[in-house]
Amino acid sequence: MRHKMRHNWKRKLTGVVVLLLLGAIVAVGQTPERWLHVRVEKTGDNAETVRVNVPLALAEKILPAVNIDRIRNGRITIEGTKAEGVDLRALFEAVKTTQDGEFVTVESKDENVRVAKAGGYLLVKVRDERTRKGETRKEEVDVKIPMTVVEAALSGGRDELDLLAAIKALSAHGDSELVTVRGHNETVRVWIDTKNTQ
Amino acid sequence: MFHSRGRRLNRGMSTVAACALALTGSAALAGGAAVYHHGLIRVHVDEKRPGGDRVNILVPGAIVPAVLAFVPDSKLEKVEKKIRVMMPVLRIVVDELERYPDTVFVEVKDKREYVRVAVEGGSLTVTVDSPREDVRVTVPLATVRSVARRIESVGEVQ
Repeated sequence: MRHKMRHNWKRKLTGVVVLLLLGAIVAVGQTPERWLHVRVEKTGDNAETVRVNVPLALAEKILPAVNIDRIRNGRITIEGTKAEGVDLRALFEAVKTTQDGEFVTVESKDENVRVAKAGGYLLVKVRDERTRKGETRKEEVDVKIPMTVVEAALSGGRDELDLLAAIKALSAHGDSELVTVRGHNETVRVWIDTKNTQ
Repeated sequence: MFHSRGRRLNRGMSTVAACALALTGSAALAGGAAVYHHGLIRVHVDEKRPGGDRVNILVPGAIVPAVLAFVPDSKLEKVEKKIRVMMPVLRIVVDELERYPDTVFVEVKDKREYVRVAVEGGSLTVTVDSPREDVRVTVPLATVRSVARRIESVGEVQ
């Protein structure tokens, strides 16, 4: 009798240990919740601060339910826009298959633009410097989008961007700084991390 | 004999009193549970003009679904038609927001106005401070869900 009870306890204990291990595996395997943050700060006469925090999982769930104007089933049509007729996918494939490097460089008196691919990211850099009424105004724009996100966005039909796929790809990506704008009296920052605050 | 009858009567009264107490207690507990589940709806409006109105409303969220149950479907149909497009999004937002910790989702501040949309303690809070008025609205997410379900149910019947 005592032997049978001890045997039962052993079985129960083994079951609990197995459950705990499975729980630990699931917990380790789960990726942390990612949040998209936007911060706009304006100084001067029109001083303004905008802060937005959106969980990417929420955006993933909402997008398929939004059917307004150009947005349908998580996709946005680009028909009738400047990008219409341009084979974005072919363009992306060409960029994807080539080695890291600069693809576009525009240098002018006031503005320098650089489009490059490096370390799995599509990079856009704009440096603008203009002098007006003796005052020099500088603006710097940095865009850093993971190639997997661009690929996901272009995975839909022709003349449409798959926003849902892009957000999913973004969720799978680690913390990253997506857009930074530093202007004369304005800064804009768009980034992703696991915090729900800024 | 009288003594025994009086004792029986007393026992009967005690049983009735105990039942009444139990019922009242259960009702109070159920009410408390409903208020706890739904939380409180708070509305505060303060007009900044001279002689402006000041409104303060504090009601249990549980009242809203109860009141909506008595609103005729014909009245709710109009509302349902107006917000039908938004309903799937609203349902997802409410269900999802309950999963997240207290968070400020949107905060806009300029020289004149301040707007804040957040989820705090299971309630959606909207704050607007402007030169004209200050508005603070807190609605428990459970109440928003109940209202959405009631309105949706009208559309399903059609």
